[in-house]
Amino acid sequence: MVTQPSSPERLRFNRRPRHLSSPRFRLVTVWAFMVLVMMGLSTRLVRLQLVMGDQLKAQAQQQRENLPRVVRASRRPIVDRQGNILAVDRIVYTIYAHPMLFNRSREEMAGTLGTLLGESKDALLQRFQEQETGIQLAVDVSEELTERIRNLGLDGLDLLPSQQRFYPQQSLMSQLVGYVNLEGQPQAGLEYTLQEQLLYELDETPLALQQLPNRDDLRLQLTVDSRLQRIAQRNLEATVRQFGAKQGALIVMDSHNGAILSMAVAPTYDPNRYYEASVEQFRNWVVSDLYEPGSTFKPINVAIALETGILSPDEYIFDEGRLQYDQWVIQNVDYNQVGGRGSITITDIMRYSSNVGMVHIMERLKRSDYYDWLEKLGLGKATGVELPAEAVAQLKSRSQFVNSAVEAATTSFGQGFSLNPLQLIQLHSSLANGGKLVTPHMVRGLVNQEGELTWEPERPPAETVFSPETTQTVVEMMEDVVKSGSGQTAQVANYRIGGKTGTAQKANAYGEYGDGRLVSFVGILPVENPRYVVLAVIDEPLGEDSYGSTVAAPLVKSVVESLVVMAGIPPSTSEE
Amino acid sequence: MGFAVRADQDRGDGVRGSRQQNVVLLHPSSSSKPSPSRRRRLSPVQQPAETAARPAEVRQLPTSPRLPLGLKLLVGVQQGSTLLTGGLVATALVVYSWTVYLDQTVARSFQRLEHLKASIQQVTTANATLKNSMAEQAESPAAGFKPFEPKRAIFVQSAPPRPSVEPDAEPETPRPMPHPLGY
Repeated sequence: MVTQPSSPERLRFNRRPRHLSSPRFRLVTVWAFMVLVMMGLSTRLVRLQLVMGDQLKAQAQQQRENLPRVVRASRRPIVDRQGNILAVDRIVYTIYAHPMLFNRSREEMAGTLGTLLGESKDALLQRFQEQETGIQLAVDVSEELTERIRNLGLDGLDLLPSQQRFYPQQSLMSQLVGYVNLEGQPQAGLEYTLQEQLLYELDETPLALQQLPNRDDLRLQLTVDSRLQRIAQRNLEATVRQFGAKQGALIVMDSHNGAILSMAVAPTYDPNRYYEASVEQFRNWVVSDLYEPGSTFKPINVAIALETGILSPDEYIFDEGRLQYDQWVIQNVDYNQVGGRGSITITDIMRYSSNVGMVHIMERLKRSDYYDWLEKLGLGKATGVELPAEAVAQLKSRSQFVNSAVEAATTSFGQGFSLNPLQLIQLHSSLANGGKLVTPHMVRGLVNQEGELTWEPERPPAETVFSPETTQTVVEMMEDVVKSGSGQTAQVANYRIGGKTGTAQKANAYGEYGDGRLVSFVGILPVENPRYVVLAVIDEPLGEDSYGSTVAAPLVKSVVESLVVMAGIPPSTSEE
Repeated sequence: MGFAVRADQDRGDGVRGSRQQNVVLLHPSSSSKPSPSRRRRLSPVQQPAETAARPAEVRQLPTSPRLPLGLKLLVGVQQGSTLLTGGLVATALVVYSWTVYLDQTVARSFQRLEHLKASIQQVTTANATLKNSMAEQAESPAAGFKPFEPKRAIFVQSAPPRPSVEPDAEPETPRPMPHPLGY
């Protein structure tokens, strides 16, 4: 009691430290502090979420979209029969340099970039000195290399991405696949005709997900075999070069369904550098040009004659070698050397490619019926192949054909009308497959990663035009052409091949037959079970000795040799 | 001690007047509510004597007062809503953090996807380019490759499909070995 302080001031002074150290006070302080912190956090949260939320969200989205400024892929890849890539989208970069913004010396920059871009340091340095900004250093730089340059962290470089269609097979498939120009517009080939199937469907996805066009993983698969195409293209190019020809084509078709296994066309171009090619080269003349088929049409005429019953296979036809129709003279190619052959078999007519014999066969058919047959075979209609700008076969008008004997006479040996090479191979397929007129095509459809078809082009059902007996008879006659006739140069040891040569005069710009000729050979194999049809057409080969038998038949042989191995066709005979 | 007893009395007073006789009356002459100052003045000697004299006075404390039903209900509602609010706040926080996390994950996955797509394209094009250049190299006569020719090919006829053989259900009992094979 004695020690108790008396003064009130002293009491207050003394009690303060006691109060501060009391657990209650500390508890309250901590609690208040935490409440304050929580309130602060909540305020910040509310501000971020409610006040600035939309703005921040937009900003984030923008950042995401800005990563690659171009869409990574907009068209589906095109693959061949085995799945080899024929066309695919990729990102390439154009690199610009702005020397005024460099953070290192120009020498150092020139040295670093020179080694990466494969250019000499001095040349680069000189270009850096010439201009202060906007120097285009390189185009079509791969993404990988660009990434390496970006990782160097150099200032003053602009890496501009752009989307590009890339064709790894270069000129091999350009006439089929076509190309997409630098603006991303398809300009030729399947790229053009199937652009709807090739384009990704950019449906209503939220903005952030718009850059995922690769979701469906579909690819456009062709029926073409890259390996066979490569062999065909190289051989064709060699032949065209050897004979100084204007253009050439070599087509292999599976007659069972009309699938084209290879379509080599010369001249061709590199679709990656389409701008260096001339406009003429973009045209696939296999579908867009018409030509008079000449003797290669004779087997078709024989099939018509056999099918209508006006001719039996073992008949003899009189070949006088030369015929006169008013002012027109029709004669055999070898009339000047051999003259008339007299009475010969139909096989001999084919073997010696007798024009007069063919005229006599087709004379038996009423001309209006003949015209009906030509129309039934699809002449005058498009074949329906997927390639753009298909030219439709030109026949004379019905009245002209029916009223003039010479029209039917010239048609009987393949002149006086024109069709595109693809239609000719379609007609020969009907001989190989037992009489069905299949639609030539090179697109299998859209396939997914498992190889299952998800889309298939619609094709009309194959129309039957000949009976299997007729076609087998004709194919066996064609076998004799290769065995002992004009097509001997197409023989492949131990294989039974049917064929027919053709050497047609070309009509010039004035509608008259000039010096130019068009040589061709069509082969069907194997004769015992016909399936594959090979057609070679060479336009305007130079030299006196350029005929179907000397130019086109050896070309067909070179492809058939590879084809039988790839398709696994065993030899028909095992002698030798 | 006196204070406690006093309080006891106060409460007892408020509840039941009939128990007046149990109350310790410290100063019966004075008013029924003596001031605390007066209590302090009690002599310390007096107190123990008084308590010892009446041990029976320690008695059961009264049970908690019964609240009116309305009030009880309100208390219940308050407790329930507190729980509910806590739960809701916790859920809101979880949901909110989840949305933030989701956004982050999407952004990260998006970048990874971009990267993977770039790699796919690079690998695809590089593969196709390599294939093409290899095929071109193989074409040159110097490479020593020969084109396909039936002369150099072997055609194997596919055998007729064999009937599937059912494996024996019971393995043969091993024959007793005539001689030991080794030592």
